[in-house]
Amino acid sequence: MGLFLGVLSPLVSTFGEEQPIDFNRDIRPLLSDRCFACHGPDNNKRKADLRLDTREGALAPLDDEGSLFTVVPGDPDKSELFYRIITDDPDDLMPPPESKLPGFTEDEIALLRRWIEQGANYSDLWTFVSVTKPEEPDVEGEDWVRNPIDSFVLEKLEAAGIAPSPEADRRTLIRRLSFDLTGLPPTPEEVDAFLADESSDAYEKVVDRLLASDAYGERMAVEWLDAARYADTSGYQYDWFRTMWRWRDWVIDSYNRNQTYDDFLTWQLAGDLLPDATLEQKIATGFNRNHPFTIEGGVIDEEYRVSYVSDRVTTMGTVFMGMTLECARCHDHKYDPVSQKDFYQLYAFFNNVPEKGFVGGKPLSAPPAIPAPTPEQEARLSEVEEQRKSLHAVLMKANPALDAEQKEWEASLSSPWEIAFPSDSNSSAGTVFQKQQDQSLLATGTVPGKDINTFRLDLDPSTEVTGIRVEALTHESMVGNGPGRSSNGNAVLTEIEIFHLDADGKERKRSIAKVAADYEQKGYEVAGAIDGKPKTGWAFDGNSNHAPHWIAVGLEEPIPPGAETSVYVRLRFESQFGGHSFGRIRLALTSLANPTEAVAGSELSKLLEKPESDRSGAEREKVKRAFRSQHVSLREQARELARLEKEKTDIEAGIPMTMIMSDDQPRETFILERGMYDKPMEKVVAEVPENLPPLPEGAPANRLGLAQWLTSPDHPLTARVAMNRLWHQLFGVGIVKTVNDFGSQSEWPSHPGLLDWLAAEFVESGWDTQAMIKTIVSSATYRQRSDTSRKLLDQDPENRLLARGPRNRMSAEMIRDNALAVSGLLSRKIGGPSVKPYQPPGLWEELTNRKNFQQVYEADTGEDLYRRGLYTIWKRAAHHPMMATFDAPNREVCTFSRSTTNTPLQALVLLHDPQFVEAARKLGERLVTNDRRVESWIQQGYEIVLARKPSEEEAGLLQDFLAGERERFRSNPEEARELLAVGDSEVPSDLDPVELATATMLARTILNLSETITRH
Amino acid sequence: MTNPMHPLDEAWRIQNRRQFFHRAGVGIGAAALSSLGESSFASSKTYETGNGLHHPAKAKRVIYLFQSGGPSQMDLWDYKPDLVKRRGVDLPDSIRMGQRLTGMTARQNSLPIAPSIFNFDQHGESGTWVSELLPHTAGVVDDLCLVKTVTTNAINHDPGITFFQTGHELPGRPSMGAWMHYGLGSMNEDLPAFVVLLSAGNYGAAQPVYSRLWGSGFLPTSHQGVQMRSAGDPVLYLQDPAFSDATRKRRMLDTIASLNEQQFAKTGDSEIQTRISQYEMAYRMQTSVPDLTNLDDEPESTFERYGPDARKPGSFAANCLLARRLAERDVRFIQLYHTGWDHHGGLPAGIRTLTGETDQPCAALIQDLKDRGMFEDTLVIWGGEFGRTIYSQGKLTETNYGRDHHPRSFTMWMAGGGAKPGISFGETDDFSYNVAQDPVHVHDMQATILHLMGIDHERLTYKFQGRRYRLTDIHGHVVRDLLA
Repeated sequence: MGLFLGVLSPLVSTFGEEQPIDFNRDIRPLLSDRCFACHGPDNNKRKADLRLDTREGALAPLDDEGSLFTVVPGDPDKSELFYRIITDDPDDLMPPPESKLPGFTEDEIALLRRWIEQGANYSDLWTFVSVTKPEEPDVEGEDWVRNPIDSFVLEKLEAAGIAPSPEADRRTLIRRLSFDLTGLPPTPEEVDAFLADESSDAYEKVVDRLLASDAYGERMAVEWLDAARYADTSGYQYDWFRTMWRWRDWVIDSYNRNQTYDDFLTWQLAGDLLPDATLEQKIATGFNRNHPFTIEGGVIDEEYRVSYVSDRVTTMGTVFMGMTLECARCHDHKYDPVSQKDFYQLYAFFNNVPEKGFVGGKPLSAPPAIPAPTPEQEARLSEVEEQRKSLHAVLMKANPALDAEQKEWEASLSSPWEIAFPSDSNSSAGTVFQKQQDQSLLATGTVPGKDINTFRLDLDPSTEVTGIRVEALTHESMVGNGPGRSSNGNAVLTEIEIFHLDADGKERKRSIAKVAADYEQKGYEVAGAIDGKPKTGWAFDGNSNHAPHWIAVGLEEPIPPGAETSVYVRLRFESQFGGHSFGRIRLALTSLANPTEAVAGSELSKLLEKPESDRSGAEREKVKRAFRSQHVSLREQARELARLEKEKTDIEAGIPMTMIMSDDQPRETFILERGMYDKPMEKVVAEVPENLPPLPEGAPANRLGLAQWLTSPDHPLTARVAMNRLWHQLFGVGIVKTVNDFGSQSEWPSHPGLLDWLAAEFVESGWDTQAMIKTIVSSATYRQRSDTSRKLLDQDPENRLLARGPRNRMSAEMIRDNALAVSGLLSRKIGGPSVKPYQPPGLWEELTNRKNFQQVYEADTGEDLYRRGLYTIWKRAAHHPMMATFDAPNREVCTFSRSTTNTPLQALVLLHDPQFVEAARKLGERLVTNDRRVESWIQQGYEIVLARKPSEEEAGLLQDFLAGERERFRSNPEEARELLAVGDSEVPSDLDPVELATATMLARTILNLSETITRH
Repeated sequence: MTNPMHPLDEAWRIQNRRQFFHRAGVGIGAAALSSLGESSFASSKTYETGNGLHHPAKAKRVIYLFQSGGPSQMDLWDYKPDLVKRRGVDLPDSIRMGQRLTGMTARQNSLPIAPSIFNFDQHGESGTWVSELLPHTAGVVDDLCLVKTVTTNAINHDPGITFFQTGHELPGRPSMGAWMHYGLGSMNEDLPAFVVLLSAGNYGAAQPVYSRLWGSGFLPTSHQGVQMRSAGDPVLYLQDPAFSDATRKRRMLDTIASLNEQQFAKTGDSEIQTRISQYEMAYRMQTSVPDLTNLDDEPESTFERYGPDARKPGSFAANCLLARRLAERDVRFIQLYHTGWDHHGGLPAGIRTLTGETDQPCAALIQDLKDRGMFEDTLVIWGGEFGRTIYSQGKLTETNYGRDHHPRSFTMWMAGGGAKPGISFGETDDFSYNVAQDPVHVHDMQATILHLMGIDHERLTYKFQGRRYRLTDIHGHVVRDLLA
């Protein structure tokens, strides 16, 4: 920090002694930091009735006589303020020792003295004053200037006597651009094309290509997802899952369409309030629902609801305004001109959501939420619906001839089932069947524990068979008349099977499509009889309900007339309960199209029992459809229609829900004492903060009006904050370093003029984000070399003057994506539900072992193992360890500026995470496949991963290393096999394992280089 | 590792090392940081390991045995024999004083008093009353600094445990261990400075924990706790998935280091040097961590002391033993979590299980530290996120009852590391419901813990979004009576 001040502070810089004090740059930070907490904007906690955040307050007399003043302009020695900061008397010294605040340093005291000497002038907090587009400064080295950005940068450099760095070489530039704009490395082909392009706009063409690629939206989304605290779980307590990925995909898409920033902001804050809001506009409002919510039993509902609303205010403040509004939740802001009332007036904009604090259960979303079909789902749905409609029309078309046939059919349906007596019967347990008068078979003999009955039915060659019915009938020989043979009259049919016999006596099973029964005992539903599991089966409470029952099965494919001479029915009674078999069995066949419906008690049969005149329109339609569906002339169409209807239901069931904003539950808003949910005070209405411009004329007092306010061209914060973020994203440090705080405590901008120029330009461009990115990356400033010298490091260790290009460790996402991309493993599928790449076992399980709340991590397979990092499931309580190790936040709260640490755990990830070892193996495979010479592997490895050629020394080092590796693998081929076994992807069998393992070690080495994970 | 061609002089190296320690928080700790400026370290100008950041430290390290779920103070420590007479009587309104209830008992018709069914006895020279549930801990009661009047704001688990570990009920702040790591740095070069151990097991009704409890909040992420796991690699990705041959690893690391050195010479990017050092530490960890977790060198007597569970990886007993081994290796902050104390129903059976799992290892740890001469400078802390209600949640019978969450007053203990031994601090009312005398708020506990580590809780701050944040928010007082 001290060194930075060395560059930018007027005291020790080369700016000259007599440079006038700038209150905002030189004085406000000091007063704010040491004084405002007690003598600032907070009206309730102000001490000694003295305020130093206004000139009026500082100049007011301290005593009744008017003889003592805090500040006497021009006269530090008569100013109490000055005495208080230099005195040795601990009772008088400010800040007081008990505050534990650091005292003023000698340099700071000198600054304050000069400020008073120069008249103790104040200016408004600069970030609260609307932007005026500054003139491009005049500079000496005009040759270097590519666009106005460079003039602003060069002005400072010239003042400090530092020369800018030369432009980086093309290889470095394309790698830098590719990562900055798409998060992915350039391919060697792209590098070569750029090197070979001699046209004057070669650079611009690369920029345009990158901005136009789909990967651009994914790269930009990462920062926004951090800021908007997007995650796939709900945080708090069990951290259950949620579906918000439709919102995430909307963000990617918005960037890829280069949606203007004012629309981007408006849709997210108020998309639902736009006239005739579209699905996308509503999805965008999920921004304000990304906060965590709780399902912890026993919480107090309102306590959490209040925290959600406050989170919205805070996040909006940070993300769009760069303001620390949360400080005003409990009291007036200590540093900035934002009162507690301002906070709750903003709160009122977000307080009308029909939501609860305690969500409960294990929901994937909390109301308000809507089904949000993906574009693919929507497209398929409308296709299906169109086909369904036309097919339905064909099926139901007016046709008097068919209607007449329907009458006959209805009459025939009184007995749609043809009783069929078996030509052969068999029991695995020796049960003897006796034929009864009604064509049933009575089971006699000892009641066996388990039994398997098989019956052969001979078929009429002129009739089709679509279904088979089995009746379990009562008989006096059974306990309570049965119908089961057990000691209580019940039975369990564990499985029913239909088959034919081939010529050689082999069984050929017929699939059953549907099953129905007239009655189902709880826990013994009829589906259990066709699921192939002996533990489940169909029963009918035969112990209490001694009545006849039936079960009917519909065949997947009907048996065409004459196709088979017979069909076999097998009934398995293999339940754990002994003797639970049927006592009297009768079989029947049908050729109805929907056999499981056309049985006594079914919906259709009930309808048919009604006289036609009593049927409603819908009921008539149903009967008509049932008839036509089985009619030989329409059967195909009916089947297709049923298939379409099922597809429609399936798609609809798969449509993700997404949380949205809504104002459907207007609530009164009160200032909450110390932010406590149960301590309401003064009532307030929705309004913007007093010290910022008012709502635009005609703007509604709702979120839409708030969005209009934020995007009005004279709003002092919106464009500045957005441009500072963009700068931060591209350079690693913002022009205002405190990217999330533009208040009194913020750090003075390194280039105030540049920031305002960018902000003004942004608004003039129509809030065109891509245009601004292009301007920035086209500047000479951005295109500088990023290496440094001892001298430059001493002069400007943090590169705040921008005498060199940006150089930063990559984000977790980039590090992952880079390894996958260079290995050829990376999937380029965009969007969709989040995925689960490899992760060490147990990481979720060990956090929660509570019954019903356990969460088991099962890695995906195939393509989903190799998706970009932003699609890795974002679990707040236990984020993926690779991501967390490389500083990805847990996204419980809004984050913009991630840490960039450098730790041993990161080394362990790059060395040992199977994902990286596998990527190295696949990269090795690329190298080995292309060429057999180690020298060539090294060349290509460097070109693929680092976009450059290795130096001779580097190549030499690696050759020595690889010679040794190859030798080891040769003498110990088992090691090669072990190495190649890491990861799910295939190992080509035609490659020599020793060679492949050696190349893999080369790739591992390259993937672990500091340079590999650095944007420079 | 040094490149003879190196164009940069020693002074620059020092600068780089500073950044290295800043980023990584290893090695020489905070001493290197003082010149990095005020925003990192409010008022620290001089600090040497062991001397404390702001004043001399009593404790060099902390072992925090977090008992998640909320142990029942009146069944373990807070002896209220007279309540037997009031069994089944409703808790008087004069005692409850409008205390809010959780959603779980808010609709209960009555709040019948459920006196503990467990016997208490006096133990040690201090004559401290201890429940029969804690026979082993009773044996070391003279070493404990018992605080009977801890009080918190939260009445539910997530905000309660988050409050204890980060000083704030809502997510986003750094955890206590992260603050210590940030403030004091590390005392060793082979292991992380802040280690987390979770009890493994299947408690069925246990409340979950979450990584934010050992997270770094807005502090650099290198200050977050590193989980040491009982299954698989103790530290994630510690071992090569393919082969374990040490020479092989060494060769690859040496090649990486040489290539990195060349880049450093070319670019002057000091991050490269840091990364070289971090790869070295990663390499050392591949030896130091297995040395730590391999218990083969422990004599039979150790397992007798900690109990048979100590042989079961991931048990609380095994973790207590590991905690001692970590302390021996000068790991700064060792955070254990044992879950399952949330006894809303069936408390007598549930608490027997929990004390069965934890009582002996707690006592063993204290005795073990004493035997090794480490008790004086190791602060051991035991406690949950809140206590439990004197009234029964659900049906009260002769042998069974449940208890809801209770924030107003509950018991914790500290031991060693400058905590006053053999005392019971604070008095609760006749119902173990309110503090009758000497409340100790969560922020006070935190201030006191930091004090013992040589830190002034008001001065260990981090400026984030314009404000100086600290573990104790804007509250907290050091409780002098708890200091030895």
